[in-house]
Amino acid sequence: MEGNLTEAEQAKLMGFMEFEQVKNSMKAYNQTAYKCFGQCVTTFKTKKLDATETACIENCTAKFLKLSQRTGQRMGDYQAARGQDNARCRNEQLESA
Amino acid sequence: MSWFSKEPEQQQGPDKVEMAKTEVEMMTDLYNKMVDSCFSKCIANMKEGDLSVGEMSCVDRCVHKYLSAQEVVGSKTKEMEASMMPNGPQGGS
Repeated sequence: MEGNLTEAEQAKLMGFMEFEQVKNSMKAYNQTAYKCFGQCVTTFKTKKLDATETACIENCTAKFLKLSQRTGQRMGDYQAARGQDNARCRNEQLESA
Repeated sequence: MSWFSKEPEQQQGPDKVEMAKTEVEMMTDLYNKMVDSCFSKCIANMKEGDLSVGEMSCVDRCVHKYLSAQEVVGSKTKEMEASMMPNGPQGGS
């Protein structure tokens, strides 16, 4: 798709993607807090996080980050494989047309 | 920069950059939802900060399944829309 864009258009798109990345990393921060709070904090007997809760949140944060990275990698793999399929499909359509 | 001459490539549909931006936003949303969903489904405990082997293979399968499901939703939606439109598909959206 990017092959059809002019250089100026591509630069515009790259700028947007960088902006989007920053935006999403902030979103991910809130998302991690939301998920880990839900997983790790279940009682409200005190207002302080206890040692178990703190350790749970720390581990949860680390896991969430690692899972996010892995998800990104696997998504890339999937799309790469899909892209090859699509290219093959297009070629077959062109040949049969 | 010709204002009145017909350039078929430029005439069809909205701005290409806007389209690409929408696609980036859509993929970002898909990614966020997938991370959310696979985290809920695959992470069993918070005893350690590393993903276990089981969790890792769960995530790998989860991503693959999620994206496959996304495609099924897409093709089924298309099919339903096509059958609901008596005059056949219009445009190519």
